[in-house]
Amino acid sequence: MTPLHAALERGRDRYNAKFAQARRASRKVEGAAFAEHLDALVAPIVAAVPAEAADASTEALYDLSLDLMTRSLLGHPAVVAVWRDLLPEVAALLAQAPRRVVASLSNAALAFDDPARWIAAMADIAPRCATPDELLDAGMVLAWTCGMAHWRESARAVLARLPEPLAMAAVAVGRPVPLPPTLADLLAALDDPWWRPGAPAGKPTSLALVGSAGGFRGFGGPFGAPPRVVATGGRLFAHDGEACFSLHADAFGATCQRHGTAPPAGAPAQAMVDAAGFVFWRGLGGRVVGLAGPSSLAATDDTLAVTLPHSHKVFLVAATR
Amino acid sequence: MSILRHFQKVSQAPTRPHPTPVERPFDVADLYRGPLDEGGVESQVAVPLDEKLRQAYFWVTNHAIINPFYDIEYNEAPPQQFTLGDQKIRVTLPSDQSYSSYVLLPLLNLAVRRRCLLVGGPGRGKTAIAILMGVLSGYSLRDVKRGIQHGQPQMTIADLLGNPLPSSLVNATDMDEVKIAWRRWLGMRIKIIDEYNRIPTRTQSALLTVMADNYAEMYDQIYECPDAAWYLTANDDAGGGTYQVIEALRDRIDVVVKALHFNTRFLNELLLRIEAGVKPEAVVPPEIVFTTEELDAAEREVRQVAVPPAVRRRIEFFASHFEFFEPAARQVEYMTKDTVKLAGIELHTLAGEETGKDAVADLGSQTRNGLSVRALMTVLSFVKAMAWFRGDREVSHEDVRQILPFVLHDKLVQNADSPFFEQSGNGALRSDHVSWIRNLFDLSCREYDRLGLDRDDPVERLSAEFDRGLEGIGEDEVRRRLVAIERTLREWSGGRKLYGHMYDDLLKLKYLHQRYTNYLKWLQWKG
Repeated sequence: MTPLHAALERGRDRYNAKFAQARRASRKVEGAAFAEHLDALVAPIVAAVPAEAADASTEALYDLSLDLMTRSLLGHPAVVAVWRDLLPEVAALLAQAPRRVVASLSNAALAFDDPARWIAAMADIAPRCATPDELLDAGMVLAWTCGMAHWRESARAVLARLPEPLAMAAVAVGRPVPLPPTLADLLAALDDPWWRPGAPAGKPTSLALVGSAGGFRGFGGPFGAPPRVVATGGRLFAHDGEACFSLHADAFGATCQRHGTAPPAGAPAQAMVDAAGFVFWRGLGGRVVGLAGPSSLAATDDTLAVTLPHSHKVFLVAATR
Repeated sequence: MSILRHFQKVSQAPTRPHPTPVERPFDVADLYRGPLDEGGVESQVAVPLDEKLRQAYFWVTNHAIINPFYDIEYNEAPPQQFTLGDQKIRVTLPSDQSYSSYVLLPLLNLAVRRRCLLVGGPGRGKTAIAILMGVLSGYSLRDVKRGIQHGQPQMTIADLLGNPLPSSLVNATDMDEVKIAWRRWLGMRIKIIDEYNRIPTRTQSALLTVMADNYAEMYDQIYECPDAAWYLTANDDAGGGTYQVIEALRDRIDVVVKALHFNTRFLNELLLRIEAGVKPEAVVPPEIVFTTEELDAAEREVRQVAVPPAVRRRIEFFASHFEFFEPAARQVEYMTKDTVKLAGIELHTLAGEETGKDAVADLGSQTRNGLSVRALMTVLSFVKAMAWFRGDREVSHEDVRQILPFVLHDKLVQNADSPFFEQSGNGALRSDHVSWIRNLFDLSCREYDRLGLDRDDPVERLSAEFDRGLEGIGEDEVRRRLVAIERTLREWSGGRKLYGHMYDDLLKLKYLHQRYTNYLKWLQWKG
């Protein structure tokens, strides 16, 4: 008998009543699928938690499983990935606050289009975390470094409050590169959004295409038509005639976030891209392949956004070392 | 969703969205916010207290008390109305967030810590809502239930307040040495008196001391009670029951709420509860439970809500109709219903001497009394609480219109003999006091508008002039103001009938005249 089955046996009446009540409240609750979920995903987690926490962990996992089932999320790939690949790896921390850890990590996975990278990074960092709070804080930093650029500012604040070894490890997860010697130095280096862990310090010397954002709505992107960009107040916005999005980009990734329907008024970019694709900006120049004949340009202090007449993407140029 | 979680579901904030022009910054903490509830109070985002009270309101109405009534109606656009039946009953579909008085007023009472009377037939959930208020205040269900004082004909003062410790009673050589085992409910911030009209008269007097003065006394020993929200229940609105409720105790009731009937279309909800064995008061979600500090802060926030001058004037105008009773005296100051009452004379025996006034138009003819200072203070507290509950920081006309009937329900005694009630369609107002008082306020506002007092109110103008202070005002200016007061009075004396609202204006002008006269004398003495 597995620890899960033993725990279910100990609370048999209660668990049966919960299931019966949930089934009465929602037609989506279905016995066979639920039992399969318990065997396939919950049993390994309960087997991994310390024996003394098996009952509390089972209770939280059981309740949340019923919640997920009533919301038709029990088989969601992101939820399955977290329960299968991450929760057994964080079992010791899960045992300290079962409901909070399981619900938070499941909610987080649903925030990603593809949570695989974040889940792998979380599994890597978990052994360095002493408490559920540290795990969840590290998870926020990893969400940022896995591409959620719109959370950059608040994630840096979380990074600053982590214990130094954990903070350094969180930024280095999946990047075996040398980092600045202290957390203060690391935070200073991260002031430049285009600084990549392991990159040398020094003045930028050239312009380069550092990333892109957006894409055609039919392929999962935000834009129904080739967008145009504007910049105001140190922020970039892209609009396609129907909707406006704020653009967030740094060395870890780029995202577009809905920002009403009409673009804000923006100032013209102090930059130029000629017909041959030569880019002139911030006193630097250089040819960036593919950017000839742009439809719009917009720039902040550190990022030049370029759109093309026949592309649904926004191309991002920055000064690099 | 399990049944337990169904009953513990709290409405998502904001429950009453206000325009938010400020863009919310991106916060990485949103990573963990999603469909699954993390549970635990510590994981909750701090919500404003008015929002928390609204969440409590919606939880109670959606999951705890089956009370599908919206008798406190707000409209942001003209509402749809339908007329039904031979009596042309009008049904209104409110166009803004509206509320059930039966849940809302006990919650407002919790915020302002006053005394709420729940009336209605047996088994309508009066005690249940009082218990919920106790649980929402942070007490355990067990403590709340133990703290309920159940009124019964044999209830003694000792049952209510406590007992002297026998050992100290035997050994005491002085009253100071008697130790009292005070009842625990006296120290609670929620006080529930079930069926208070079954308490014997003598014990009611002891209860009055606790309610009115917030202390209990026994054997010369005093127990100081903390500020508390009171909930009293009664099966009989008229104050009947086993014992007549003493008038002073009835007068301490700040707001009266009626338990309405059970809507049979919701029988299935009852069935669900029986089958699931769920008692809502046992599963109150922790996120809507208030701490003592939060209730203190809520009360402070309510007090900060502003009453704009235009709204204040309409309350003043409304309240001015009722006390004046011309036949009561020869001297103007004593022309009040209170004079008649103190003389032990029935109002109707003098009513025939009222001459010249239209008894239907005279709102004062509909009541047997005027409004006390306590009643007006309660009105102001509850209208502020209503505005605060809706997330506003200023009281609106509609807040006053909706709250007045519940605060004045037992305070404004209806004169059912008034010719007003003989008019077609007004008979039902004899029994429906909520509609009657609301109608009184509407009629008062109509008269206020007819008189154009928002545009031109000479008494308000003269009062504002006086409120700026007398310092530095010379004799000429004082004389000018005295003449202005006299001119106003002269204009009024030109054959106009004297109604209640003019009576208070008249006395205010006399007051201002006297203040200026005294000041003028002082200026002349000073030379």
